[in-house]
Amino acid sequence: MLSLGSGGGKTAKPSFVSYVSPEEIKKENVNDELKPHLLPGELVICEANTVVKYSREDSLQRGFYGKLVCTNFKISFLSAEQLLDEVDQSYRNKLMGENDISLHCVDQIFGVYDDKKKPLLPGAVKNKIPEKLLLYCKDFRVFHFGLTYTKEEDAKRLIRVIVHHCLNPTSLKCLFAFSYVGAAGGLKVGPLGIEGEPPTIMFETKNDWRDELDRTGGLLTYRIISSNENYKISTRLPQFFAASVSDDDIKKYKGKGIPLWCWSHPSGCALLKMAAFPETVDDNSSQMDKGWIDRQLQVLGETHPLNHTIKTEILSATLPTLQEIQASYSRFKQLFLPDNAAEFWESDVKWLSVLENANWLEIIRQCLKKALDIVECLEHSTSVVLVEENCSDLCCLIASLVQVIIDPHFRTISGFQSLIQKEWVMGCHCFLDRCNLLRNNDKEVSVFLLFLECVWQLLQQYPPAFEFTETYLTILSDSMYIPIFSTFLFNSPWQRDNNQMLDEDRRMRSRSLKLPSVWEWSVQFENSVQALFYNPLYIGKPKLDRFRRTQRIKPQRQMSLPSSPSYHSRPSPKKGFFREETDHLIKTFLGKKISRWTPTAEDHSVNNRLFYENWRSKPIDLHGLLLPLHDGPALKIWGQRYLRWIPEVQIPGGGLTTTLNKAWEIIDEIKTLQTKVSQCLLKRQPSSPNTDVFTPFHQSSRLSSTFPFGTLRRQSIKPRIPVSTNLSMSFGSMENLPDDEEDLGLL
Amino acid sequence: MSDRLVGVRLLMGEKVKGEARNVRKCSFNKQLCESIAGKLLCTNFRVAFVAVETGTPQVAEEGSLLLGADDVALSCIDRVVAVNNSRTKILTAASNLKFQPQTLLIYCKDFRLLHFQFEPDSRACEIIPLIAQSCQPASPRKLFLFQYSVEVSNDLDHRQLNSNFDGELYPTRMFETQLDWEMELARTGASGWRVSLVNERFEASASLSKILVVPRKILDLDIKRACAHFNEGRIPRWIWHHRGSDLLRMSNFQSNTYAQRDGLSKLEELLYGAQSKLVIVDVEDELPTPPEIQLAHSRLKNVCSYENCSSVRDPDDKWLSALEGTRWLEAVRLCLKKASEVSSLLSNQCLTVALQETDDRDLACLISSLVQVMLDPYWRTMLGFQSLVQKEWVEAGHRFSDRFNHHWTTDKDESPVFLLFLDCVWQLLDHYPVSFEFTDTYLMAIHDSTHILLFRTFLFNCPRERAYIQQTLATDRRTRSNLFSNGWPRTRSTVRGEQVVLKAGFFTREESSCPLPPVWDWSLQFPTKHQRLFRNALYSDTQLLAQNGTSVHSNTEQADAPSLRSVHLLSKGLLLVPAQLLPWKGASVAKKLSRLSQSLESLLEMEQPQRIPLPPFLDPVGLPFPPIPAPGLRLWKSCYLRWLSAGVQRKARDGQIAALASQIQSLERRLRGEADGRNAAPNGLDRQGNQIPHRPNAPIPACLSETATMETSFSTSVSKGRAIAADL
Repeated sequence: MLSLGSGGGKTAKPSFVSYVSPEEIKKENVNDELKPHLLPGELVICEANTVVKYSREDSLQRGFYGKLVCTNFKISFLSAEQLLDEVDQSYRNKLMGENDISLHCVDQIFGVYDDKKKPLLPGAVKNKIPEKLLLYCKDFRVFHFGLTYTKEEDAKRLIRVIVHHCLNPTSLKCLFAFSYVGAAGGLKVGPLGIEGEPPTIMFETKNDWRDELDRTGGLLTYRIISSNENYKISTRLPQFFAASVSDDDIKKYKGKGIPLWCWSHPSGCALLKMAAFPETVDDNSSQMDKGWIDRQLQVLGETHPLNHTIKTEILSATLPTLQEIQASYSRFKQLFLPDNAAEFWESDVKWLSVLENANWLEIIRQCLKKALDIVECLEHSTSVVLVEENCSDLCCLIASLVQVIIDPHFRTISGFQSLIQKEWVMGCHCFLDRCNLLRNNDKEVSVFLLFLECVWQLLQQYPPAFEFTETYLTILSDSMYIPIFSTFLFNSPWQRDNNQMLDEDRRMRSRSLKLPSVWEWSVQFENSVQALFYNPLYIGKPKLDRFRRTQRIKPQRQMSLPSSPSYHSRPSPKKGFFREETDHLIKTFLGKKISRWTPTAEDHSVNNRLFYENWRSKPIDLHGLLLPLHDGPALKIWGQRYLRWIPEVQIPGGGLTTTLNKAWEIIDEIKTLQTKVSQCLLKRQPSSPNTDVFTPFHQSSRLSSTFPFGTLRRQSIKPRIPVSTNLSMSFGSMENLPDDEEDLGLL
Repeated sequence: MSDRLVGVRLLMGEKVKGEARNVRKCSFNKQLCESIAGKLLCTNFRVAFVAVETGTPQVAEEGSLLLGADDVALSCIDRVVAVNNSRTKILTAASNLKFQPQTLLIYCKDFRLLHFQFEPDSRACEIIPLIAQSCQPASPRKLFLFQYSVEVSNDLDHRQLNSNFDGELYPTRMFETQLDWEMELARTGASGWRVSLVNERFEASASLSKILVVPRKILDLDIKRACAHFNEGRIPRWIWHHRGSDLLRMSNFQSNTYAQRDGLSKLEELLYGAQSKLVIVDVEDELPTPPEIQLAHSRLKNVCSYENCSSVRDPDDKWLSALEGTRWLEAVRLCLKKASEVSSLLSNQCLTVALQETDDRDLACLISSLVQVMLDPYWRTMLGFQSLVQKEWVEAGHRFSDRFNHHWTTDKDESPVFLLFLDCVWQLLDHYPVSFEFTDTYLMAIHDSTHILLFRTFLFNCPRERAYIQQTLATDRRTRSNLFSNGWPRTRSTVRGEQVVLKAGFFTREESSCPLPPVWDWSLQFPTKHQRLFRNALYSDTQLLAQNGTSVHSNTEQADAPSLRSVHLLSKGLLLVPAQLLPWKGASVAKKLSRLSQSLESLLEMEQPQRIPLPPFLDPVGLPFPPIPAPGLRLWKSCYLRWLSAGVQRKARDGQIAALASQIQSLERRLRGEADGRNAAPNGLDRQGNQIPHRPNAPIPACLSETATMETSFSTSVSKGRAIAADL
């Protein structure tokens, strides 16, 4: 592993050794027994025998024979020999096995022809069969399948099918989710979220919105708008939402230009978002639009009880564009898809600068910074209106990030899930387009992933403040590519309701074939795996949540910070002042592209710093404001997500896992002791052995840092030092290896 | 002058040399330029700032006992810079200030920057040249240490009398005596080695310690002869044993000497030790040289300093590439990689691994101690780690004095090799948080102690220098003559010239009378509360127990079969067969050839053990830690960036677990308490004053007591832990 020289990819001759040789397989025809685990509605499209799966752990020199199956849901590799380890068993997805790749999870497909890697694209599949098929997944797995021993027609067909189903555009109706639900006969919808938890609020009914308004104390100012019921006004709005405008106004512009309520700060000010009007050529109408928005803002200002100031924040002006985000992410993700160990160690030297060039961390930084700016405004009793063209990308991101930062409720699992429902699903984030599940457009942008990244940064900075672990976030990000859940499948609630209603079985409409929501974790995981979602270090709020609202009615007592004078000295925005100001700013920014990302104004940045330092100088309240550090050294790579499948980075028996594991142990111990104490108190009852103490982890020494992902390296963990017999020639043991491995295989 | 008057808790023997009033201290890390008025003091130990408001010094609960938050030890000062409106000048001891400075900047070796502003008042500025002079003592004897030590020795004597154990004041094994080495041989289960006192008077090698461990078969006379063939006489000597393999250290061969034929065979014996397979590891290969380390460190200092504070915040400046440009992490990575290679060699088969370096006093220390930390859980305990530093650095003659440039003699030799080692250990600690008994706070305490010249540990270039100076101190103390009158300071230069043999009888006196405390006496520096932060709440010593069974291997058979001897060189991750093992004249051609063929033969055998696949899940106890790739490396932020931003995050997590653990403790105490005295009515408070809920007492079932033996030594409040437990 240390100096593999030119690496394993170069071995033209197959140097792997399986426990069963190809001849044996043909004789015994063992593969007949291998049946893929099919979900309801899943159909096998094609399959090929005697495919070799090279394992990354063995430097791609060895592998297993098995059968590669492509269904309408996944690509699955089945092998008789591959034994699942205990650790693998402990983390099991009910839908996807270890060697299953959902069709939507496939990112890139390559074929290796004569040691050369060539991308396989639909329509350009060669007749020649590649020796190896490389599948790069969106969850950063890399599969190497050898096709040398496969029957030619099988291999050809398999490749064509895989390329077709993974890369060709498809239509919404063809997504597996519909045949799945159809075949399952209407899934029994279990409790949302994790059992025993407060339920996830879906924000599909009026009451959900009312409760949320009530919880945050926004009920005084905002009301629930139900004029869009059955999507009468706009398909880009949820059926219910909260705002402070009249129904007529909403109808007039079909939902555009209306500040939609997101969240209310305890001080009474609120976070709102608004879809900007599209750019029009007509001066008249743009004037009108502008007047309209001014009026809206004015209304907003007047309706506020304390007559707060209002600030509009045009996100596209100060944040990177969606194209930049996507370009950066695609650069970034390539860093984590090394072909082999040699390539990995090669990148090692220049790691930091390559990372920097990808610019992804910088984008995270800017999002955190922007959220921080808005948090500051809210803390200074200034309502903020986020403006974006269609109010469904960066608006969702910043709005939800701000809420995670301020409101501890959204740092619990159920709160976080509710937040995603409120801001993303009901905020009409175009999951279908942004995840590019249909592969028919170029709108793919990982905005939601960027949000999870930002939350992860916060999580790793303040671990005890979050009820969930990074494992939860990682699994959530993986679930985006399993096309079963209604959460990530549609562009808007309208599209979802429309498609669910018009399902193939029209007559059975009353049965309402409902796709499961991703929050029904029991669809994917057993309870034992769900336990991994819980952060053992989380400090729960000492059961005061019930009374929180009453506390919060008194504004600006707990969280208040000395408000900087500049905020109050600003003129009130009643005459559309802010709109003009921001317009002006946008022009200057667009003029100088370079200066776009610099802070808006000098005095503002100083204020920002003052606010920040002020907060820092106080002890951190984990149930209060939680400002993220956003300077360069504070940002880290989400190792569990990006590095989990790279065996070189795994830390056997180390990493954060061990810390969590230890915490679990200690908590168990406390539980045991507590029961003992209470037993003592209950008049010397014979102590029953405490059996139901639940430990999600096994022995810590058997875990690696990437737990629960990635298999522990089966090979020895020590670095391998090849022996050279010649001084001048430091050959990387290429010739020796096959023989060595032969011996090894026989052992 | 009383403390109250000065405003600083002065140490014994510390004297105020100058004072400047009306000084403002700026904390411009927050870019707010807040400044506090106060006075600036310069003593013979520190530069201190006393704010006007806080009149009296307070006994610190946490933090250093020696230095306050606004103090800096003179030995920690890196640069003194005076700034005027127009001019900036770096002051040295000799330079005189020609302008009226308004601002004084003190750059510290621990990356701190102190910023003082002066009123336009000429008298206050007089302190600036004084500081510049004091921090660069004209001669080593002006070091405050020696005033301090004389004063503190009385105190130490007192403590020594009060304590029962004789001689061993510190439980850390200092490796200064024969006993420590014999215990180490026994602990690791090494056979075929003996402790030799051949260097007791530093005649064989001036830079080695008194005690050497050598093969049993070799006579002291032969060892003395062998010394001539190695740089500085640093012969191959046993350091450590692991699973049948021995670790040796030696300097490069003196190739220009002529060896007798029988002498040559003795040399080979010395090299092979108790094994028949030898791997020579050239530690300089692939690793950065000390000057490169120094360069990387100063670049790192630059990146992490206040001036570049903006680069940390400003999006336009690239933090990551700036960090990469320092090449510090690269150095850390290479060291870890090398150590991991060596440890994989050691853990596989029975062989002798000899670490070779030109003078065997820098990187060899680093690599050998890293390897041992990786492989042996004993060194991951606090006492073990301290013993390791004693064994591999202090007694092995790492030139602390030169490398840290304590005496401002020359910049050429300065190189923070030891700090690089601490960083490497921190990386391991970061990756394996439950495997170490200590925390990064502890590593930081060691890190900072290297800049405080009060302790003998990091003060000297070699054991001989230490012995000599301590000797002098002891004599001085005894006679109460005029301190340091012309006598010993010159010897530093004589010690450097290795050939000078001091007159016999000089070193015979007992060293135990030495008045200089080692750094390991943490109570001198830190209050007990702070020392508690050194202990890792996550650590469990089960690993230590597991190790004891596995380490002992007897392998006398191989030692008796010299015919199968082989030698390899580890270079660039490959094992090479050297063309010529020993560079000395006298080795015949025929012998060389035969050796080559033998080694080719035995090479296959050597491969053999490597091929045995390890069971998939071995306990990580004996496993070498794998090399850490770049994505896994991190900057030791809590150390390097602590002056820029407070490292709250980690503390939060650790405190969390400590709180949980303390809850266990209190529960256990209650259980035990209830078992012990069922009639003693609890008053709601346990021994430590923690509130325990009042409940009627009941006897505890006997079978439960086993859990009550869990070791916990944690602090902080219980209430948080309770909250968690209640939640779950």
